[in-house]
Amino acid sequence: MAIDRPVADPVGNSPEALAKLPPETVFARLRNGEITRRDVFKAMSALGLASFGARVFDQNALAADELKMIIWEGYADDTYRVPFEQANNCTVSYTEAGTGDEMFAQMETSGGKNYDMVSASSDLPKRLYDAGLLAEIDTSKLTNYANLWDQFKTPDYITFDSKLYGVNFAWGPTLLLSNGDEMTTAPTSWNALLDEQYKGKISTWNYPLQIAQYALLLDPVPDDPYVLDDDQLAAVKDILVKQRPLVRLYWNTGLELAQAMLNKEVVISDGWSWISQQIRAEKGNPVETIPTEGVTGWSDSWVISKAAKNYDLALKWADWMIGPEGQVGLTEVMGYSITNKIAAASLPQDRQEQLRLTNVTDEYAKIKMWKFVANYDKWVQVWNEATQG
Amino acid sequence: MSTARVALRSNRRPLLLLLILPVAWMTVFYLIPIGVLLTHALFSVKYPKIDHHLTLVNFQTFVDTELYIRVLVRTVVMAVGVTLCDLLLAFPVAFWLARRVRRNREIALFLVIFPLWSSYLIRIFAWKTLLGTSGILNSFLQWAHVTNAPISFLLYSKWSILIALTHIWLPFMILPLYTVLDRIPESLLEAANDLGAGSVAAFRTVVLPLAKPGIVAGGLTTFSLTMGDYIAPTLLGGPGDQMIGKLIADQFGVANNWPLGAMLIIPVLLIISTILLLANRAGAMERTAG
Amino acid sequence: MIAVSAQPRRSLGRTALNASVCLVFLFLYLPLAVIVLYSFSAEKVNVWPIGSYTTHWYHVMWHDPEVRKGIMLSVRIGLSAAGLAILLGTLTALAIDRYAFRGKALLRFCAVLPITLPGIVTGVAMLSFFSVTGFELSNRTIIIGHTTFCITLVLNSVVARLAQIPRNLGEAAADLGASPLRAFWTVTFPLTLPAIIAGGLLAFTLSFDEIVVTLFLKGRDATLPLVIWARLRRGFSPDINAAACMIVGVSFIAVMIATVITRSSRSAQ
Repeated sequence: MAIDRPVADPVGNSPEALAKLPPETVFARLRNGEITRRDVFKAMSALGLASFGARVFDQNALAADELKMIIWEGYADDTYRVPFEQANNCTVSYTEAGTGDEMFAQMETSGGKNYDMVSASSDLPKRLYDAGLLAEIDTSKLTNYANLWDQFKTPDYITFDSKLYGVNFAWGPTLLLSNGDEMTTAPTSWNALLDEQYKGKISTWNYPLQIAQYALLLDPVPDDPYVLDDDQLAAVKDILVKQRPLVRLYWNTGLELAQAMLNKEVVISDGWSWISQQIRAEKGNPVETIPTEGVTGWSDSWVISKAAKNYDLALKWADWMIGPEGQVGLTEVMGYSITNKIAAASLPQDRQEQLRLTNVTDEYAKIKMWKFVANYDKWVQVWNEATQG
Repeated sequence: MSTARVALRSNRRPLLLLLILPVAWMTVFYLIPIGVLLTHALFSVKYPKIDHHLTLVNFQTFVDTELYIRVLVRTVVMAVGVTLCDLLLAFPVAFWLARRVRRNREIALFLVIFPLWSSYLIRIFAWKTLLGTSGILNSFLQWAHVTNAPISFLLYSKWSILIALTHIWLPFMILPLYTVLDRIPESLLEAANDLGAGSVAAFRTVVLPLAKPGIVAGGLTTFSLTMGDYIAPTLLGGPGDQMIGKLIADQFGVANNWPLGAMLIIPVLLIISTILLLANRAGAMERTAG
Repeated sequence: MIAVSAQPRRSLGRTALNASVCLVFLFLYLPLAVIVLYSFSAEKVNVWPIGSYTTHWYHVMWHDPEVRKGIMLSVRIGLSAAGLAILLGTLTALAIDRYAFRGKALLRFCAVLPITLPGIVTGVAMLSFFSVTGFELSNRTIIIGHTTFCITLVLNSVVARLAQIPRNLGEAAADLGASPLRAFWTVTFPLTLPAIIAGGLLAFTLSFDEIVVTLFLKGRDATLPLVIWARLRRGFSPDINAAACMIVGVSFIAVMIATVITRSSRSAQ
């Protein structure tokens, strides 16, 4: 028995309109007689059964706009994500990857269709660009761009063919970490990671890119530790092979290293400041050193996929993350060094010193940032041969 | 033990009906994609693209690089080790479950499964705490005066990988064994006992042969899972402990060397198919009933 | 005489069996005990010995929406994947057991591949496929991925059990006039049920813990292992320990309740 349709706004309750509303609203209208059951079914078929299934399983399927990103952990923390979502009436869906390998594999295999943007460390953007996956950044739409320090505006790891393909938002060095309680004097050289006196208590990050860090020990030092010829690679391999019997473990995640140092399995390693922050929080006594040979480091940029469904929204997120809220949020949540000089100046002085922001030009110049390595697959083989063969 | 074999039906239609869904699923969602992936073994990388000229350079790399063969052997040895340990540990529990537990069997079964629901990653980190130099086990051993210095070889070594993987796959061996041991008629065991066979002899001549399908089921699963796993070796191993899974995985990341990755998969495929063929040949996959 | 000398041998065997079962269960539960212990540790990092204790993490976990959503999603996906794997695995097992055809070993080989090859291979291969065919990634694609590697668990288990069931049982049922379907349902199925359940349980478990394939096939939502995996890069949010304990505890209670209910309904009949 058909119930007469109430004389409500036909457009407002048309299947297409209902299909766009959240189910609670639709069923509320059904309950108070505004619409009939037939209207609900028509709306469902307007959606197509596939999408209806999606709604049953996926919780965020209904936001007006959606931004999908694959990121390092912490880069979509509630502190800065939620205000952005509210201000732009959108949903940010994110996947937190464990390694650069995962990020790259996903982007490459899906042709950049799965994610609108990536928080790419400096070794990645060129690969993504060469694979034709990146969209150019329209800096005219970035309101905070002018406030970046100069070296973050068009650094070589995100500038290709004189065009900008990324928005640099955070950085940090890979430091020499040691246990202050177990050592009388703090080590000053990367050679400490090869020192017999620490036999069985040494660790190093299990990632082939670390070859660049060990390349800093070569004599003569290569101009660019990311461009090594066969002889230099072989020399680094020798260093690694020499180091191997002294190594307790090759750490993969920050937690592993923190735990290993706190449990005294390891007294010296390379690592990042947020790891030593954690150790300190658990009453450890980590010592951070910048060795005389120099350091490598990471610098993360937001890159946008060429196949991104919502380029403007992606750009807005990048702008937000280099803006005051995003940048200060990053220092609070992650303890990272940032790229916006106005935001940095707004921090208390001791915090600025802690985060190496008082003299950014010099601090940044000291770091040999991760770079695209042309023969990276060779690096992978050398690393595996040396550490696992 | 010979049994009268009832002739297998060769009426095709029911067979087709049974197989169409699973075969279609596997073909569409897995075999075709993997097949496409494997064809890369014949190509090479010309950054940033793949050079589609047929070449054997990957095979050359595999054969010339000591690393890959060594790690492959290491992985097979570990897989065999884990499977044997699991077999050893699973049999008493499966036997007990099948033949000694009369009431509350479902609860007993679930007791075997529960530990698995505490998440693989968390359990691996628990093993780190258990096996560490200043970890729980070492503290206990020193407190009990079994040792007077910490043992460090238990963690970040092949031992920690073996222990952790044995632990993680154990229920995958217990359950198939249990379902098989469940079906062995009590009368057979009693007959063996009446004929003077002690527990061990009865086990060897009656239980073991009839349990073969279960051993194959659990063993195949455990062996394969170990071959494919690389998270446990990465988190619990030390220098020189990595297994083939990680080396393959590395090729599909930033290194982006699908050709080499595909090439490295092929020996793994060959190993598994050899095992299946051997099991088949040894009659381990045959029916034990009529 | 025979009876007397058989007795000590039997009871020795019995003691040995009970002792080894106890040891294996101890081994099985050891890490879980550690996890329970550390869920009450005040430190954020698993150090030994534990400094101080707290129930704080259970409170945090209760209010951690990511962890809760992750658990819910993992359970839903696990049940779906196990269900589909049970269907596909049992069909294949029946075919292998009851019929003569070439390629049985090939079928088993194909089924076991997804767990033999590293997860990233499955992930990359299936992602390529979904990408090329324009399938959008969502929880459904995760289920498809998980089902694919769960099939072999059910297949192996059911084939092993079917191998022990005399085929003439089904034939007898057919002789008595039952259709093949009915013969299966009334004769074969009840006898195979333990193997189906065992396979399904293992399938659920493997799916519940899966990381790499899930990472490649996920849509918007994260499963529990992915939540943990991501947090491991920075540091442990120790409420994860509490979450693990809660999962085990809740399942234990659920199973208890289910057993009590089925027992009372059985006795009520």
